[in-house]
Amino acid sequence: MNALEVRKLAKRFLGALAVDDVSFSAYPGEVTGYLGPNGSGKSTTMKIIAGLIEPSAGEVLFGGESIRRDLIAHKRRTGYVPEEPHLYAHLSGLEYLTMVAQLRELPPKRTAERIDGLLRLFSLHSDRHAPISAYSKGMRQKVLLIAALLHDPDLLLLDEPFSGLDVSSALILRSLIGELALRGKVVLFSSHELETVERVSSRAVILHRGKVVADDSIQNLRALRSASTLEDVFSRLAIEQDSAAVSREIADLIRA
Amino acid sequence: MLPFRVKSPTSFGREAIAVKRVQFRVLYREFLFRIIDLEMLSKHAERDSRTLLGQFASLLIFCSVILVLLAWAWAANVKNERVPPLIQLTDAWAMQHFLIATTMLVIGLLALLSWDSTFPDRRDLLVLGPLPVRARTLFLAKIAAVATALGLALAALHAGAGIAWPLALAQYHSTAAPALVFDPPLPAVRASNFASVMNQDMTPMLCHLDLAAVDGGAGLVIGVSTHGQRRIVTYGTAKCDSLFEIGSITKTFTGLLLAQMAVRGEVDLRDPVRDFLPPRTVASPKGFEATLLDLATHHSGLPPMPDNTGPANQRESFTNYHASDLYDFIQRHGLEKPSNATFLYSNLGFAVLGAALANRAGTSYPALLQRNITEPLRMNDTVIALSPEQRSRFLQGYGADARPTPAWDLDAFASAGGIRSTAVDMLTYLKAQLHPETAPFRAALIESQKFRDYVAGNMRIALAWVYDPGTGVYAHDGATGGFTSYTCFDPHRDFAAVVLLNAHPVKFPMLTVLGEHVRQRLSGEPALSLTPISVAPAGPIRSFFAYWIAMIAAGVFMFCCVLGLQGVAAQLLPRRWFLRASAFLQLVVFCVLLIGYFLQRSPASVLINDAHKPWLAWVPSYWFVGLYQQVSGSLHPALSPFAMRAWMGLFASGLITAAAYAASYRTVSNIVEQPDIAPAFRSGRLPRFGGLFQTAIVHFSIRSLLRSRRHRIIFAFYVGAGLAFAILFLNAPPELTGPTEGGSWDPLSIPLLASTIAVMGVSVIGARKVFSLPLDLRANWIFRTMPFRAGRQCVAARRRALIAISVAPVWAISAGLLLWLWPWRLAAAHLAVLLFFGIILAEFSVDGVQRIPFTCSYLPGKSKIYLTFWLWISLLLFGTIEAALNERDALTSGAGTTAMLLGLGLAAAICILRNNRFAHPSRAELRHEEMPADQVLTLDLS
Repeated sequence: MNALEVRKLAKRFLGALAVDDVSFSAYPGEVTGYLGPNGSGKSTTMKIIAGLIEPSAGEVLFGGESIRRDLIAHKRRTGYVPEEPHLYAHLSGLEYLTMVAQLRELPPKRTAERIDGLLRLFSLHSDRHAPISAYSKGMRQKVLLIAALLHDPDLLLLDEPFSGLDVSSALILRSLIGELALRGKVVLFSSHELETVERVSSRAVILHRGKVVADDSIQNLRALRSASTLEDVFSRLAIEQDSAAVSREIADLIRA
Repeated sequence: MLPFRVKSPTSFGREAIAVKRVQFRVLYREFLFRIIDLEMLSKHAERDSRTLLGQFASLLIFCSVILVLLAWAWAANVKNERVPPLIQLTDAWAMQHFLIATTMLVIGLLALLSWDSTFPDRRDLLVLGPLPVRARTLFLAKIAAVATALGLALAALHAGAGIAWPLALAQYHSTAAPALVFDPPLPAVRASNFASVMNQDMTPMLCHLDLAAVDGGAGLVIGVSTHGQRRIVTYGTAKCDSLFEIGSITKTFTGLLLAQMAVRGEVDLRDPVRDFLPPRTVASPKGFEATLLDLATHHSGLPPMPDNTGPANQRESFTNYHASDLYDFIQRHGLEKPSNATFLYSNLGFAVLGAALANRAGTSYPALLQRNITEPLRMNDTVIALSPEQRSRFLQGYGADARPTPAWDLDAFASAGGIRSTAVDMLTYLKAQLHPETAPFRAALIESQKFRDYVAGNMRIALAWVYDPGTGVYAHDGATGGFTSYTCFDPHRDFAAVVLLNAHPVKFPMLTVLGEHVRQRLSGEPALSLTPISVAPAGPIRSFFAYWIAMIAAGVFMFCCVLGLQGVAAQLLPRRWFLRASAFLQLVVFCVLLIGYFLQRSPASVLINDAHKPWLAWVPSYWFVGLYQQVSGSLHPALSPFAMRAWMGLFASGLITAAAYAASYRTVSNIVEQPDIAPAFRSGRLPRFGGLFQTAIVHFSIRSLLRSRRHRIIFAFYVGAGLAFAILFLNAPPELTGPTEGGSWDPLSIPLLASTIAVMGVSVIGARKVFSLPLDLRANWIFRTMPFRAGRQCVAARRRALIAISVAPVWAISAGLLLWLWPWRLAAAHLAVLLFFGIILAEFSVDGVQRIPFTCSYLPGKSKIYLTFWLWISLLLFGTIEAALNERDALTSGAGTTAMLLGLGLAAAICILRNNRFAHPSRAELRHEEMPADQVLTLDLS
């Protein structure tokens, strides 16, 4: 079974521990929400799983094998949407996607048809020749999504995939994530939109200060924490400050 | 909503003023350190701004040191009493022009580097817009920063030169100089009315010359022949039958003697000189051997004078030199011709030639001359040794001090400058040159006028005659201790002229333009005025102020021109169009600056040869030479209109720049409201470059270069430098590029070989450099998530990208040019060499750490710009010419060509195999630099 297994993962940046002994699993057929406040280590974990950076300790297994044993094979099976839509802005959307397909050595003719179809479905077809520098944030996000799906990956890593998307595209993506999971893909996605995560995901892993503070099905999490929503669960586990008190302090400070 | 309050409210309290001052200081400092468009070098190089600016300053100071050394060398030369004052004057002009043109080039390049920093841009507005900063404060800070940068650049460039050169330029001696203005044009003057025209033209000159003032009285004679009619005009003590020393015009007689003997089969032009000297005079050299033709075209490599003549440039060094001295020298020096022998005017060479011809004929040079030329043409007054009767008609010569000087009775040097003649005889000689069919040795005359080699620029040389393709005239001049002479003929327009004077040219510098004036009158061209003027240098203090005023004015003018162009384009074009046109404009300005700099010639040369050309009035560097002379009080009348143009140009450029700033002040807010994006494009299909991976990388590289402005500009800088070198080579004097059988474009010409090699080299180096400049480090993640390893395919992709971007275009353009100009075999051989050279360079460029083009960080502050700059200049100038010389030698034989191509092919194959071997995935690692840790602190709004 192509399960994703993260074992005792740690990552240090200039001595600071960004990810600390993180372990969790994600399974085919289900969507795993990966949650945490800013700086909790979500994107770092995603990058390690995508093979972008090496962990300081621990390992990542996919299909029972360490991804580091054959990183190239792992990259062939992985689709990754990064947190920030950084793209080569001088290329057009079509050129960028063609380049990605060529780098993945996908068959040109079939891939061209696939890119064309995806551009239409994501409503980018009319802008496919425009330079990415002219794209809005949402359009760039769509390019990232298409690039991540082009090669029909087994593992889909989505880091803030809804960022910048309009309502209709967000609805499509929400359904798409579920659809892909149903087709046996392992989907790990992080988002700050807890409502969306709650609707899309069956499981959630909550990170706080680089450590996993919760890893269970959303239903169980709600039950265990006697919370009605995932947002309540999240605020109890990962938010240390009293938001109302902080907001009052800010208002007082700027008036002083 | 506007991001700025353009109209200020009424709060003008002290506090408000203090705040504005603080804002101004902060903005001024920020703008000054960002004046160079650092993003053009690296998007994440902000941290290195101080280092980079320091390096620019050190580069300019280094240039200044070089200029100081030049000033010392020039001042030392000027102090040499032997250099005629007029030559000193024209040299001073050339140096003034060089300094001004260099200043304009440097400031122009600075303006290009700060292209995006001179006006408030979108980023300034986005960052400062939300802050309570007045638009006026922003603009004033911007203008102050730009002015400071300009001032600092000028100060750094002239730090040392600004003291050394004013002192050096105050050194030359005051002199009478040609006015270099033109007399009213006349139709081509015929012999019949020549006297009246010349009498009128000569009046002011004669007043100045004051021939009678010379002790005993000097004499001048001018003889012309047009369409078979002759006319001789005399001045002073000269008469039609007066005998003069004709000096080096003698060489044309020696050249004709050589042609006669060659036509008769007594010698071959390609015979080694050694064969005609007494046995065992000199051994056969190991390398190339000087031939008779080499001697007759000043390409033998022999020095101007032998070193066993006694004191240099003294009469005795010529008159007391005999055949035994000559053979002694040749025995010691040998007759090996350097492989890169160039035109080197040599009296010695013609002395050897005369001896060689006389030896072959078994007689003396005077007898040979008499038997073969003067007797058949009945030139009874053209002799080496004067008869008693001729001695009575021989004019006394006057030296540089205007005192009588003994005649030059030459022995070994007779064939280089020993003939005495009259204007009448010289016209007979010139008639034979104009109409060989009328002479008894027609074939020899034709042979003697054939072009054999180059002198300088496009000036050609036949057998001693120098031919100017621009005027279509053969000419030669001459001078001895007390005589000056000039002669020319134009076979197509059927005219000839001779000017003879019994005085040294230093005493009568105006004579340098008299010959040219006569030629112009006979051609019907505008004729240089013979009115002399007196020119004196400024004193050191005035020269100092004039120097700085001229340099600052030239720098400000150039900076304002570039700024004005940018500002006007920004105002006239919609922003989207301007963004596109901006990069194009930058490229155009860059090319104009570089090509203009290398194509410009000394003002004196231009004023003499091209003064009537309309473009002359539109070259700004000449304007500022006029301005310098005007401020220093040494203004030459010919440059007077230029000085006026300099002031007008300065005013106009300043006005346009001010208007552009004022307009941008009014419209600054619109920048934020308009999209900062380029319109959509549908790119053409690019071909495949091997596998999918290689194709992806090559396509990515081509698109990156074509669409990224900063990469385009930097690549254009390299290619532009290569083209500038190509232009330099194609216009270079033969002293630099070596001997050539024909013109710059002729088969196997060194200039064309060197040009194509230089452009290929610079293009590959430029491509390698831009490959190392990242587009956007943050976007590199896509390559890291792709399933490929560093290794052969990565090296192959980089190699193909380099070849596609740099080698292939240069090769294709060279192929078109060479196949059009040269026989196909020679063109194909050189193209093969060029291809191998490009491949070898490309292999050196893919060597080392494996990277994908345009994805690696580059920190400009770490590169030693000033060192690499001079290194490449030196390599290009000398390495390329040396390579071209070697290639030409190899291409002259089939075996050489085969060996060279095999060698280069082998070298290319070894380079490819070596890179493939080291590119094995187990030994190579694909490199993507990490983003700077403090990147979060940068604005990154683009």
